Amino acid sequence: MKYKYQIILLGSLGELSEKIISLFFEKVKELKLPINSFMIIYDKNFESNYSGNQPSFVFYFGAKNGDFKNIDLIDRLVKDGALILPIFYTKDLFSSEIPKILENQNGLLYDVTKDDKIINLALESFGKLRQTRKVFISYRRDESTSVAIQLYEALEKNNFDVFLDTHSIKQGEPFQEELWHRMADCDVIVLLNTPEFLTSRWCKEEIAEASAKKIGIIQLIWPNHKLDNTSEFCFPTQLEESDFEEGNFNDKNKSKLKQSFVDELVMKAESIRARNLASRQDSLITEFTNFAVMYGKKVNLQPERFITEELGKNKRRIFIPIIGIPQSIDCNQHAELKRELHEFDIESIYLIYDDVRIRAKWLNHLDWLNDYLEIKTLKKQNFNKWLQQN
Amino acid sequence: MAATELKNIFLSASIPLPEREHKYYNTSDVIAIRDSVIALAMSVIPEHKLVWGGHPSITPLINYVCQKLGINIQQHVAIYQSKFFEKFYPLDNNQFENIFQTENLGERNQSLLLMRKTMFNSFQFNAGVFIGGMEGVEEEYNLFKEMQPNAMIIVLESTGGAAKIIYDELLPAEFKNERLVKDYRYMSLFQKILIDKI
Repeated sequence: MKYKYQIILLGSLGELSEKIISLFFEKVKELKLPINSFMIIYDKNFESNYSGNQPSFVFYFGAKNGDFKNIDLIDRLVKDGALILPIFYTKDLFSSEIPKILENQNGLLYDVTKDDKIINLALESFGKLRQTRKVFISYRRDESTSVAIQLYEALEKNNFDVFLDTHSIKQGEPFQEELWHRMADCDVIVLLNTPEFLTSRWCKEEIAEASAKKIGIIQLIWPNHKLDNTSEFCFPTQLEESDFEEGNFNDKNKSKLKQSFVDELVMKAESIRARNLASRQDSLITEFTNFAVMYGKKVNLQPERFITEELGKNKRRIFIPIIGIPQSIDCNQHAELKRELHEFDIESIYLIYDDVRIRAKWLNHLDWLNDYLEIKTLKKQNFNKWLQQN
Repeated sequence: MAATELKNIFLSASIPLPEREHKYYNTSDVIAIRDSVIALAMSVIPEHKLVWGGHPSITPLINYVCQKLGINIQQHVAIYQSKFFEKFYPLDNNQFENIFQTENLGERNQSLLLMRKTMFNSFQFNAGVFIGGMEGVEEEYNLFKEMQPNAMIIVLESTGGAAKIIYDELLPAEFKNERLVKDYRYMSLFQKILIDKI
């Protein structure tokens, strides 16, 4: 697999870090996620394995004796916008067990009841929940139905939430609104690019829109067809007759891909999902923090995936990134936010979002937040100016 | 900002394909190419002018981003296209007014060279940005450097393909910067290394 989810373990490692990792992989198995889609990174293999273009979650294990390790790597990871969870051991001693560079990070006071929570935070940041692992298969019914169903089943079995585009759309009819709505929340689209597919279903405007919305596109191009030069923003695979069972590629109801090919495709979907997830988080969260730092603001990306800004005197501003459809601000994050609200004096809360990605009607779903807070919104295109002025 | 103060930025980008030379495809990161083109359009077009040789996948993406941002882009983009590729023009061309067509010389490379020379003769560029790509991006880099010797050059090594080869083998040290290799936050990157400097 080219792209992976990176689990990074730094600080004072020992029994606890080993236990966390083994529990993490137990959970990964339980969720039927492919084990080799995760990479464990320590300080020793950091330089050779870490890459800023893949999602990462960092556990920083504190030191009771104040002998802090890996400060240089933490500095780099903070700049890269990695999610970092500092773990400390003694109540009220966060600041003596965790290095200063992480002083404004939400830490976790460890005891054995927290194991699940620690693992969930990491998996959550990679979108472990099935409903956040959306894949969309788009195909043309009179050319590739059996292959579409075959891939649907394979992806579903691997814990993806698959949406099969079975609506029949007549030639020339605009791509249905509902399909777009559902598709825009996917990380990955698999296009079965049969000879008539792009002429009838998709055109370059749709490919451009999907790309602008930062969705990863896998194209399987049929043996009797080739990649169109208006749809190159994708991961293309040119299929050969030999990729199909008995070389039969043009029977819409009977053609099937060989199992080995399907297995590879599932891994590819996972890999592209990982790369794309990093892109989405970067394009919103890290861009925001980068601009904020440019204007000298003290911002921190919390392990629960929201951003806090220190205003001094225990005052904070909070910025909540909207990445998928807003309902996906999950309960965990909601609970963390409430805790934030109790511990600090919150000056204001902003939802930050990418105008190019999000549909206006999604924002209406956020009314629940308004019930008890005054929420303002901030578009990505305005980050630079807003942070300069506010 | 008055129109006369617009700075001109040249974009050279394309997506390496597996059936072409593997030296481009193997290192390319199509998501990074996608993200950096979107970020460049969002950073440059609102206040400056983006100029590129029309590419059938890149042009629709930039067009979509501009539409979503609600920017009136006509003064802020210029697209050059050789009539050699006339029958392959993407429909999006109709959405841009500033399209300049150059003669079809009957042969692909000569027609492309004419298009590129015309484009580089038509503007004084403040900067050229090179993203992903294959032979075409390398050719545009070489010609741009020769014809626009005073322009700043930004080569996004992190997008791979031709950009990586140019960065590793051709780019003068003065234009190298660790962020071009490791930083995928392209909006803030362009703000820092491009917009703030022109």
